[in-house]
Amino acid sequence: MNCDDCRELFYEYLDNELDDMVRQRVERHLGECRVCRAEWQEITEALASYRNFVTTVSPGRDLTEDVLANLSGQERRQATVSFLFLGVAFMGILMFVGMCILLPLVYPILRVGLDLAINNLLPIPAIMLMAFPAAKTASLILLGLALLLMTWATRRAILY
Amino acid sequence: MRARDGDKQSFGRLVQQFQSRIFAIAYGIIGRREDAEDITQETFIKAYKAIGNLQTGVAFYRWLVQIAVNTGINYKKSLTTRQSVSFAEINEPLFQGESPEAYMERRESFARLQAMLSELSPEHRVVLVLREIEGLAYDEIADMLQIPLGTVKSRINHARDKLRRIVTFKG
Ligand SMILES: [Zn+2]
Repeated sequence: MNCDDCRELFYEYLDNELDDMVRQRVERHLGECRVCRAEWQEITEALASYRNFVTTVSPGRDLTEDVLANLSGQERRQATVSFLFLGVAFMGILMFVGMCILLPLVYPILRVGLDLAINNLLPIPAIMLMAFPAAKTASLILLGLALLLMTWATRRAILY
Repeated sequence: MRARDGDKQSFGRLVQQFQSRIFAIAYGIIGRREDAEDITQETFIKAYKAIGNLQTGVAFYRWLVQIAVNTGINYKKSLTTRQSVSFAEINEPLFQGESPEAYMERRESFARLQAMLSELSPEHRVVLVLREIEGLAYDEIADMLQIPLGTVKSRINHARDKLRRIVTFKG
């Protein structure tokens, strides 16, 4: 095995991907060749330094509390939103059901009341006048007197 | 309501258990602590909402990683203006009780690493983190990201080629 062959196989050797025979040849070459050995060392040193670099930095604090607080906050917000949504939906349903139950009950009453007012109450003055001719005459006289009084009052107001 | 609180408590334990690993993945993708914290939080929140498909053990963790990766890539996309900034900012490495000289050297190598990683695309950083930090096999990564196996390999090796340079450049 020459140096180029050996270097070619470094990463596979590193990953333990070589079969036994090739692996032994790489190892034999590394034992014999200072240049390749130095290069191999370079790789392992660089990777060790990388591992050290990544793993010696740690979070500035325990993140557990942060995560749990965040989750609680989100759950609260979610709960508020669903509470509001449910509230509105519930009110809507309540109103709809209420209308369904109440309207059939209320409608005849309203209807009867309206009929009563229009058919029975409104004609009462006319019926009274028709029934009592004396009242009719009296009311006409009263109306005439009221007109006269108003004319007089207006004249007075304008002239004096 | 009571059952829900119980859910949240046990979920809190899961957050506690996995947050540093998820954070490391996010950090490997994004390169900035604050952003990585955001991604970690978002990952767990998304997971909680999808808790219906909650599995336990390895499957759950794998699922969590997948959410973190997607969140990380999309986070990047939504912040394209800041993309160049994040890895370029120097993150001071944690002091690990070493000698001042060793610390300075590590700090320098971190700065070089950051510069190198900022030149990689988020997609490259994702496969790198999944392979080198999470130790996933190529086919698992291909599965998770829904990309061809060959693409996974070429991305990882491209990223490794890049990383090697930090050592080569050292002296
Ligand atoms: Zn050689």
